[in-house]
Amino acid sequence: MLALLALHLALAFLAPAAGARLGRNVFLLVALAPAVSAVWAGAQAAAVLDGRPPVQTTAWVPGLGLSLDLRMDALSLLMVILVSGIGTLVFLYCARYFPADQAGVGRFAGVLTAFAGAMLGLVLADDLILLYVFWELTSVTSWLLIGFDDEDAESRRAAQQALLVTALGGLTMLVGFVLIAQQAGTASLSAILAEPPTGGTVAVALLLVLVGAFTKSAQVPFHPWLPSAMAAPTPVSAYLHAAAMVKAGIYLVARLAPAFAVIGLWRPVVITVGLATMLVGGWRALRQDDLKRLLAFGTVSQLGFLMVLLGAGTREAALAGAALLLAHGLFKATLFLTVGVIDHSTGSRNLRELSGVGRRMPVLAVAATLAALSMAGVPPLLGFISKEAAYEAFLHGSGPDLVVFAVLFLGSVLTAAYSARFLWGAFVAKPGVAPTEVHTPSPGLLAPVVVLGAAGLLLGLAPQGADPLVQAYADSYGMPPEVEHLALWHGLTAALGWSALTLLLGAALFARREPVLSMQRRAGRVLGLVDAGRSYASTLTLLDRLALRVTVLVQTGSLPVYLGTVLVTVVVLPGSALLLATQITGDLRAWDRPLQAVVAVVITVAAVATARAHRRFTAVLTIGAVGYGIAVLFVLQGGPDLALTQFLIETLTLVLFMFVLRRLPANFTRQSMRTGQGVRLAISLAVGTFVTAAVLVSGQARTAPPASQAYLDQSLPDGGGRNVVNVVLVDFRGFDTLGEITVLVVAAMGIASLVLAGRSRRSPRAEGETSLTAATGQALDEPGTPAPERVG
Amino acid sequence: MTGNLTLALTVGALYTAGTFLLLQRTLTRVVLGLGLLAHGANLLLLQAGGVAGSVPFVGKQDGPSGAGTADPLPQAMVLTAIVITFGVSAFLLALAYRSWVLTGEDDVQDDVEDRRVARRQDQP
Amino acid sequence: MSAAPGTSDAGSSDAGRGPSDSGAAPRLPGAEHIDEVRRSVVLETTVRLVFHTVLVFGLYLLFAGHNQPGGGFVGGLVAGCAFVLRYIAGGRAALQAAVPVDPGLPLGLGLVLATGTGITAWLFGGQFLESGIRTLELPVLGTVKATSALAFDTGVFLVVVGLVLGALRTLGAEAER
Repeated sequence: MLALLALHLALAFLAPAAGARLGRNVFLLVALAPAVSAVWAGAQAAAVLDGRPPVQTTAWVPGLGLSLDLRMDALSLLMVILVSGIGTLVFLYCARYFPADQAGVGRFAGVLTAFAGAMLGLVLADDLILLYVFWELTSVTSWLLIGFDDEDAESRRAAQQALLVTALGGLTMLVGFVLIAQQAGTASLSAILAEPPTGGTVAVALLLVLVGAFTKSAQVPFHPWLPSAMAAPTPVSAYLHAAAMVKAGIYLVARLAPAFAVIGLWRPVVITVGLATMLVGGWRALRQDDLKRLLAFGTVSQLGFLMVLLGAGTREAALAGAALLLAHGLFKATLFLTVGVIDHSTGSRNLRELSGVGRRMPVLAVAATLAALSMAGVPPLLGFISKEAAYEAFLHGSGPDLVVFAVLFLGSVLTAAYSARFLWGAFVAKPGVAPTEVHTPSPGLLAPVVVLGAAGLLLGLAPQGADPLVQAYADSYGMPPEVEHLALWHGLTAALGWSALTLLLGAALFARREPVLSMQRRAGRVLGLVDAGRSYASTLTLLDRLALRVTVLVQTGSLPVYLGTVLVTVVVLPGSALLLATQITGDLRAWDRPLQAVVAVVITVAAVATARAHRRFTAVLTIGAVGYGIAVLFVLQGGPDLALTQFLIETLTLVLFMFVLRRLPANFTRQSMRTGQGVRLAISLAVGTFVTAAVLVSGQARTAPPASQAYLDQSLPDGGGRNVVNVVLVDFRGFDTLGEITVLVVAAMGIASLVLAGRSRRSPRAEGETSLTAATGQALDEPGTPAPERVG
Repeated sequence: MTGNLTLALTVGALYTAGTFLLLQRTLTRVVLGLGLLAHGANLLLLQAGGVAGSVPFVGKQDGPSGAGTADPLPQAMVLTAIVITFGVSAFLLALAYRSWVLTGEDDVQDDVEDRRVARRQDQP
Repeated sequence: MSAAPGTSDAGSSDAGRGPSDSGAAPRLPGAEHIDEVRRSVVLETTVRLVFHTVLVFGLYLLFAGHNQPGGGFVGGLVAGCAFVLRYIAGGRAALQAAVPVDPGLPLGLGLVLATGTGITAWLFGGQFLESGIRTLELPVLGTVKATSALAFDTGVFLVVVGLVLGALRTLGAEAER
């Protein structure tokens, strides 16, 4: 199984290069990946149905407990048939759909292959985290596919919407996965399903997972991304809608439902959302003029149907759901590809402009009719069988089941109506509309459509072909005493009657299409207020505006404000902790030596003078006084080395300041001296008070003996020196010193580059002073002053 | 352990003045403020060594045990800090100078980009 | 001059020897590039006399630092002050005449020396920067204790000197414009 995924990946990487040489025929090459997968799945089918699913485990990140666990049971097999089987046909269709000179076809083929691979991985993954990874891979690759026409703003917008919505759901789902894995103690899907964890956490986690499934499968209220996504090339739409992407959410629900449908709010939430989606999708599909858009809303509706069936958590519903999953894959792919052919051959997909297409393309019309009838639930097609099974599943229950049944019935009526609308719009000759010009499509384009359309009929006539597979999935709910099989004819049952009624009402709805349309428009004016598409847009706008607000608030661009924020935080957080948690108890001494107090006063006065100074020169002199005062304090404290260093440094600093100040104006800017000084003073006083308190409190907090006793003892024997401070610097804590001199070197380089940057390299004087390096030479002259006597 | 009130107050004073200067817009004053803060920090480190004592040289104090000797560890740290401060101040001075060369003033202005963002909010 | 306090005590002991070198010589080499009006004979002479003394004092502090007040930092700063004096009296060219090398040289050399000391300890099977002590019997000096820490400290010394030189060359030269 890993080899199949690798094949997808390899072909995906190969495709862009191959596309440059092969043109659109590159699709024939990359179709190898899904084709091989489908064949392999077919070969394994017997073992899978026998209850011996192929399993493969490869270590991935053992440190994190991640592994590539792949497993193909009945549900996975069903999905692989959709993903790879229908995938192969879509790939072949692509090879004739795109114009021979289509630009970027190699890239597109690569992304499509990667998408197919990600989808295959998703349905085979037996590990929650792995499933999530593939899940997001499908989101990203579908984003690239939908946005294939990257010069079209609408297409980019649709791609972004799909990505945002599905990725948001994906992240929510990840949280749910992690919670479930925590509760279960493993991330292995089969292990979790075998022994499902329970409890409140799991119930919440499941809701989070459902959000992921709902966004991916375009359930209300996340559905608008799917109709928008039809901005993608039609084969992509066919693949996304019929076999991949949106089926991922359905797959996840189908996968988890046997174990989790009974927990928490799963069943009510899934069923409510599914039913709402089914109605909204059908209702919207009924009033579309664009054939592709009609199908897109039809997909939304069918996804709701699938969600209800597969999420309900009963064996009968699951049986119907699995059958519908297969049926929907077949008929929806056929219909989308049909629209592609019509668009390709006539240049239009507006059902009000098309007329008489059916007569010009009879083969296509037959294939599409089979598919549409399957969608509407007309015997003897697979769609009829699955719908019948669905009715059967809910018809015999009590109260709530009957409500569900009623809504399913209503949704199916809508489905039948828009199926009719599709056929009528695409093929029928309309009075008053000129027959559409048709270019005969190539057989290569028609073949996949015909194969898919015929498959729906075949499986309808011989449901025993699909029955074992569907049964095998339904068996995950346990074996019932009396197994219900898929069949075309169950006898004269109530479900049959309801099916007939569905078709009748659907036909009536279609016959009265113009009055229905105007009623829809009136209702639309009211319902438009809660349009999910519009709320997506306004959410984005809101987010934009919020981001701007936050940026303006947080990022003022003012250095004093930033520093002030940091300092206030220091005072407020550690400061309040200091205030609450400790008190100064120990006895304080005023000073160690009385002279300290005198020097302290000098320092304080000089520091305040520095802060108040208006002239740069004054400020530098007073800060010098502070420095020398500190040196005296060092002497008093017992650190001659320190005092000496401080003394020298202070002197050097003064000299440097003088150098620079000679170039700068004598006074500080007046304006900058005035505004907001009160606030600054308040913050500084708070900081000063905080530090003083911290000094006093921390002085009392010492519990261990000083570390330096060891230094004193070891200085002579180990370090070979009597000056303990120096031994500490160069020996005991030599690493610190090494770091320090590195900083000094960096600072020196920084100074040189700051001062010398942008100076001309040519130096008239430097020619005479050969010992000067280029850098020093640069320092010596300014541009355009050749006179040496000016310098120095 | 007890605290030395004089040193604690001096540290506080240095931090107050240093913070005040740090919050200014003029780069030279910011550099001066950092200098004061550095002095304060050095003093803070030093007083953490405890009571003033004799110089920490082996053989200079009364006994080998080290009683009455100033703590050498904070001293070593402060020595490192002093020299680093010198390097950093020189660098900041160069920075202030550069700002003056480029803009004719050594005041830090608000970030242009951020002000542009702020204007965008006013005109949606 | 603000540089005076740092070095005055070191210089004063040698100041008396100054006048014996009088004539054309006492002026500082390199200082001739300064305008005549801005030159100071007294300053130049004093600096010329004091310069080497201060430099040697810096070196002394470096070597004495292990047992007495001093060390690489202090020694480097004192030596740096010598260059500051030279610069103040004679300008950029005088400093150039005194140290005809790029400040990058002492900076890089110092860092290499300090790091090299650490690595050498590795070569001898110790940990990085582990110090070694050797007692040598030298013919004239007698018993001399050599520590690897001295090499490290010399590296520190060089870096500090390099930093001061660099700052003088760049910021100082800028001020001259």
